[in-house]
Amino acid sequence: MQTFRVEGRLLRILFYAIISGMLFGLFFALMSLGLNLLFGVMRMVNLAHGDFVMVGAFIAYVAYTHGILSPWLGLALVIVILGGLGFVLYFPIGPRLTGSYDPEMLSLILFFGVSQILEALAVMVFGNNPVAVGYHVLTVKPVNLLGQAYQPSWILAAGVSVIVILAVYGYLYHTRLGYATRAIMGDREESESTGINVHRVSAIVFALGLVTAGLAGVLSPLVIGSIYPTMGLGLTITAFAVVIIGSLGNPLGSILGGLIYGISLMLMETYLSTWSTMVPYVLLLLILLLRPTGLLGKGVRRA
Amino acid sequence: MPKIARSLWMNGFIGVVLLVVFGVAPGFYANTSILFQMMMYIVLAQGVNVLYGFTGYLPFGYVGFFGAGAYGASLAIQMGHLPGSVAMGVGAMVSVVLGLVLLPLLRLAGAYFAIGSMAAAEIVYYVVSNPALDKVTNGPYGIQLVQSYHPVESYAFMVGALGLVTLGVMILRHSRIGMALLALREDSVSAAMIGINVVTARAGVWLASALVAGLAGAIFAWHTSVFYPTTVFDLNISVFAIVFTLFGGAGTVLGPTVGVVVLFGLYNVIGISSPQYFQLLFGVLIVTLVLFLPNGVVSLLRRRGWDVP
Amino acid sequence: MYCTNDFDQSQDNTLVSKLQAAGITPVYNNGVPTSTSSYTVLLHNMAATHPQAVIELGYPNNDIAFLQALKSSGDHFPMVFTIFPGQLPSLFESNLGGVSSLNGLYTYPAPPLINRSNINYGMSLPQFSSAYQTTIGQPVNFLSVAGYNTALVIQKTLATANSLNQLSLRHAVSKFSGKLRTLDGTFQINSEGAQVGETLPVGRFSVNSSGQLQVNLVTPLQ
Repeated sequence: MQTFRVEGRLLRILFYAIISGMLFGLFFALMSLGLNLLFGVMRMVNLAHGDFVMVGAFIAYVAYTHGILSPWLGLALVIVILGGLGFVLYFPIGPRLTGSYDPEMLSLILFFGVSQILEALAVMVFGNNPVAVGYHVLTVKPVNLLGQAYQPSWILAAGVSVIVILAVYGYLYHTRLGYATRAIMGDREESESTGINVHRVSAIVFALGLVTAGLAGVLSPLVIGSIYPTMGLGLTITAFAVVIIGSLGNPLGSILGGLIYGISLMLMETYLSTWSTMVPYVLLLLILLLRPTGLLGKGVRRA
Repeated sequence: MPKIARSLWMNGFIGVVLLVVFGVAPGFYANTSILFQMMMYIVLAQGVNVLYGFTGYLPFGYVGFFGAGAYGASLAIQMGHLPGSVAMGVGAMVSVVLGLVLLPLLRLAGAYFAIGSMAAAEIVYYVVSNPALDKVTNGPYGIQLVQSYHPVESYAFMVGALGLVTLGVMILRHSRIGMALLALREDSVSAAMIGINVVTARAGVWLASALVAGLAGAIFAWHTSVFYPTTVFDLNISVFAIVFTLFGGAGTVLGPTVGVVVLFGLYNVIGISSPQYFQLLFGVLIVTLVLFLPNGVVSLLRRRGWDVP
Repeated sequence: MYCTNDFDQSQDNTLVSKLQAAGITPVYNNGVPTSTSSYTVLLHNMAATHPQAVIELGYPNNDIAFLQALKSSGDHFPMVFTIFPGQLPSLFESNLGGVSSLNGLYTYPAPPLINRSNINYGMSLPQFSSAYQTTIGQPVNFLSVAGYNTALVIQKTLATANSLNQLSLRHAVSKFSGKLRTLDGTFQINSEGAQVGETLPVGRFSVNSSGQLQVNLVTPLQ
């Protein structure tokens, strides 16, 4: 009887870690979606990805301090601001990079510079201290599921993430622009010759990448609590892990990557807590080395 | 004068100037810590230069070797009771061993390699700093090397390392293998035709750059004598070394040196008192560089028809 | 629960050995990386061990993340202690949504939350507060007190030393070690020249009738 009760407790802990990991991971699936899109379509390695998430979070913060208390308005604001910024920013950067001798490596370095700029500007405007966005849902009582309490904020963030990812999936697979986008993913030059306006489509995808990052930023206070200007780099690395674990170019792959990341992180926190933050790095390296062609496509060096 | 001979002569000149400047400077300039770090970054930047300039691998996790060297040397002093000078060699060798372990990374291309190497460096950091390794590495508590503290000797070692590394890059640049690597950065197909085993040559360059970073880390540990794992595995060390190299121009001897002297000098003028302004400037510089000057500032000289060493 | 850095892990080691010496066995004692930002699952696991008191040792960002997770988890523990709210109360207030979130929390209170009266060097806390307010235009916080305290120690060292070489500076510091009482407590170094860790007082936050945060000392001010 005694051992049965102990096993019940251990099972509950395991179950909690898995469910929380799923909710957590779905948010990270959205968080890394834009990285996936940019690489898939333009071979751009957006090392500033996490910093765009940070920008989204601070847009929500500014809105919040000006009395806009609902996350929905924050989401709308981010679509307008980061969408516009992305579209405008693409034209001086994009064609130059994709036409260069090594777009992957040059974009990696360029976006590192962008990341430095965004971080520095955020520190100048908002200071170094963490700030909180006190969405109402953070104070709602936990939701009971099978006898254990889960945070409504995580459930909301995971739900919105799934909706956004499905919307992007719908765009890619059920609209004309989406077909064009996938054609560019397949072969840039060939799609150009079939009359697709590559740069216009690329600019839209670039904007979409920044918008999804920004949306994750608006949701981030729900999942990771306080926000701060230097939060970007860590998020970028996590996003790389998620993208590489999942599969490149397919937004549903991000969901898979996010789930694997979230669940393994929470299991590590539960059973081997001192090693937990090593999880994304180990997953990333293992997948890179063991399945370089499989999950990633063109991961192996040819020259 | 034949072109190669003149270029060699120029390189030797740079090396001698560096050695004299950093050897004599402490007599005139009291802040040896800045001089020491400047040399350290030139050494690291040359390590990045060798790897990126000659093989196209951009090592975001380069700091992993630096940290491995620092810890290797420190443990040799603490547990092996070796004198500082010998421990430097141990540190460099530990880093080479790490390089051997990480050889499979070379299978990865471009961005994958950059990200993969960063993940590897973070893993090394988490292992070294984990409380489970308290008994060996002292975990998060870091290293104290009071018994071997010797600022003058360790400074002299860094001057030596600087000379050796500059000489090494010079030789590599004018060797058959170096030139072949440069010519074949992106095209290994024709490599076999001229009888160079590109894979082996690249592995060799990788291990050499690991050795360089390990040596720099070891001498840093000796010179600083008190540090935490976060100090020697700070990703900024990789980032600085890479940006300095790219700023100056990879694939040359002069480029990384110029990059360090200018940017690290700038960092010490404004980066310490108002880091966010320096970071902004840093970011703008990088973006401008990639868009308008992807081969570094020394390429400006080359455009004027000068032969850059 | 502690972060695996030198600052927090050493405190955890001391705490656990002292607790065990007193016959109290921790039911949960785990380290987490300092970069941890999600404490929800950790808290849930901790709650499953039914502790009588929860002590989280971290840096400010860890303490904030931990208290945010605690707040939204709905878990309640009889006693919760974290290090930094006592040093940076306004940062914690703004990140946790008001003073009420800090009510009942145990912490290390630091000036300006506590006021040391028997000082023999420099300004007292009220004097420094008003001077700081008039000069800088901002209310005083612990970081400004700590900065002022550092300056006081340097000033005293320079006033005591005969020359500027390392040895005489060291002698000067040893000379007043243990005798210098400033608004931030007694300054003391050991024989190796390292500053002796002060025994920090433990206090408990409460919110008074006018809605202001105050701290009640649980252990005496030394």
